[in-house]
Amino acid sequence: MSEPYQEGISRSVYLPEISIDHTSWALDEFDLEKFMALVRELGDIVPERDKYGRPIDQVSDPRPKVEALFVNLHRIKNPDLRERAEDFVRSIGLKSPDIYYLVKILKESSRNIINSLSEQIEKSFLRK
Amino acid sequence: MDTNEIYNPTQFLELNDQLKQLEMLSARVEKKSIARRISQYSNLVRGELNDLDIIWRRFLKDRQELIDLAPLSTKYLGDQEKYYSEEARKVFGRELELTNSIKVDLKSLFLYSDILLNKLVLLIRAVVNQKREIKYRSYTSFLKSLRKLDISNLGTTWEYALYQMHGDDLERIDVSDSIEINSLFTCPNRIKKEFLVPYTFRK
Repeated sequence: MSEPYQEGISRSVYLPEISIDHTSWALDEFDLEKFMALVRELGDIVPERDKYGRPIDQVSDPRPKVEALFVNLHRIKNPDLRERAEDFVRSIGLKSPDIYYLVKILKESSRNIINSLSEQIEKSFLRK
Repeated sequence: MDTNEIYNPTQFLELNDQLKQLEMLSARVEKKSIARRISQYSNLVRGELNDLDIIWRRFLKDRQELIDLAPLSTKYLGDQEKYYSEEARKVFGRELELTNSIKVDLKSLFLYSDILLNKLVLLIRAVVNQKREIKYRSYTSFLKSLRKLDISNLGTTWEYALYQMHGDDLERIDVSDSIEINSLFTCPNRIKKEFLVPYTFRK
């Protein structure tokens, strides 16, 4: 695990409530047949039943299915399969940045805004 | 930004130092009303940075404690005899406390980032020559007006250059827009595609 971004998914700091809060769903795009074909190809990566014990292919809401795939992405060893699974998740659920990415964006953009404002002050108010 | 940089506990204090330099610069502005206005909004931004600093340090501390507890927790989980012991209960309880605390800090970071960016827009308004086509009322309105800006009439502005540089990233953490998406949660057909934040799973 070389990047910190994955940590939020596979370590104990994975916070499903937060991910769901910041996930936008394109449910129209969900294709159950395509999903089940992928699940079969993945073997035992995605559990057959959801957290309430219902068979995953019989749950009408696509979101628990996509989430079950999403939280298990890190277990997929085959890079091609993993890429396809990631693409599938990406096409249905769009997740906002995690904490590390948020801090990175915040720091870099704030730093540049403050720097640019300093330049503006010099240019507009100090250089006569 | 590499791993060490991300876990740096002084992320937000460094920005605070930068703001102090901006304030020193603005103190040299001849027109005192402008200098006062800049200083006023800069102070507001610094206040938000201090709050973010508190949240960030707490997040890092709790995260580290959770990582340190993990081997012990795994040990108790795999040990039928010790699973119900007093020690194990303490470890599991602490893990739960820390997870909840991290969850709150994560939400707080999103919300306080939004507050910080709102204050930064006010600081921008205090420094630049305001343009009629750009809205400086809030962070969301600022981004939205820049997104729609027709530069063929206005020419490239400082604000637009900023949007070109950081717009994509800033839109991702615009909490107000995220709330707008959540309110449309049950009606996916109505989700405006341009509001959808990119999926950020990293390899």
